[in-house]
Amino acid sequence: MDFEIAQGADLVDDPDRAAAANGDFEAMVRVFRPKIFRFILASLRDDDAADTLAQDCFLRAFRAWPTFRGECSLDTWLMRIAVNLVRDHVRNRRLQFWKRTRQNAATLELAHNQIAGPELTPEARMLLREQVNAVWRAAATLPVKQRSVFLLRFIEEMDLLEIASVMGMKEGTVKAHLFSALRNVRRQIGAAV
Amino acid sequence: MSRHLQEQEICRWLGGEHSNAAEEHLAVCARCRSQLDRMNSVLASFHDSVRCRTERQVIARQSDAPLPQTSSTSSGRRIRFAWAAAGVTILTIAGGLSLARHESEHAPSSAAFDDAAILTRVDADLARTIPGPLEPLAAPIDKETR
Repeated sequence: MDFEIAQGADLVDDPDRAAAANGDFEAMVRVFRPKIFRFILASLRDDDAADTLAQDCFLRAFRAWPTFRGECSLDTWLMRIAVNLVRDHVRNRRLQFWKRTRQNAATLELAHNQIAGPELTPEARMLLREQVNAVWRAAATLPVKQRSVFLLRFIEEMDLLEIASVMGMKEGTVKAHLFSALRNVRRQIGAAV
Repeated sequence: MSRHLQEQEICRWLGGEHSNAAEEHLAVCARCRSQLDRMNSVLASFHDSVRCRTERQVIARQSDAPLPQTSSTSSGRRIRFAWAAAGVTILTIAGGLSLARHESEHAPSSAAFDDAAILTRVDADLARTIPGPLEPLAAPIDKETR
């Protein structure tokens, strides 16, 4: 698989990755924490919860490390733990989550300078910014599985098979969630512009 | 395919499922192509902006966030050490108490022991003043007297 080859190349290039693959837990945290934190933050849009769940993710990984048999890559395994934590968090705090999302919606708008494209006209940039914010807002309202699939695809740039492995789904189910998420997001973008 | 791409087909294309029919249509339809380009551009900007937004927070939090392994193992070690120390302390105290009780029950009291020792020593001294029948006199005359 391309992914395996890429990971092998990474192991050669990055001693931290190699150490992580050999069970050096501190190296594992150093290598994968940013990715895990980013995914959880993008999923929950709550800094403190993301921080706590990222810690929980590595704590669970540490406890479960003896049972990790290397059937999937390390980052797939960690991302699977993170996805489960996000799902449990949303399930357990559904009301608080949506309440908080609504309250913090204004502060979660993306900063103006985070929209790339200096070649764009001010009007085009403003339009793009509004659309990106609409994607943000749409992602927050997606059902948790759709949201996870959407973020893994468009933020973490995982392919469908990797997402299927992380989510514990068949590839067809991942596609169904992804297409539904895209439809919802497009609808929101349409409403925003 | 002559008709424009439907919503479902656009979502499939964006999701990475590229059918031949859609590909053929996009090769000739500027309208559908621009629609997809626009959506791809929004998604790419979404990707960049989320990464940019979270990167700063990752860096800010990574500097002061303790490593789970370090915290868990060191706290685990600390807890285990505390339990071990507590165990040793309890055993020491219990052993000491038990030994003291055992001594108080079975051994003579310290006063009785002292008395017995003094009596033994006195007996020895008295016995020494009376030489045994085969024991030569050690110092019949003092050096000074001599």
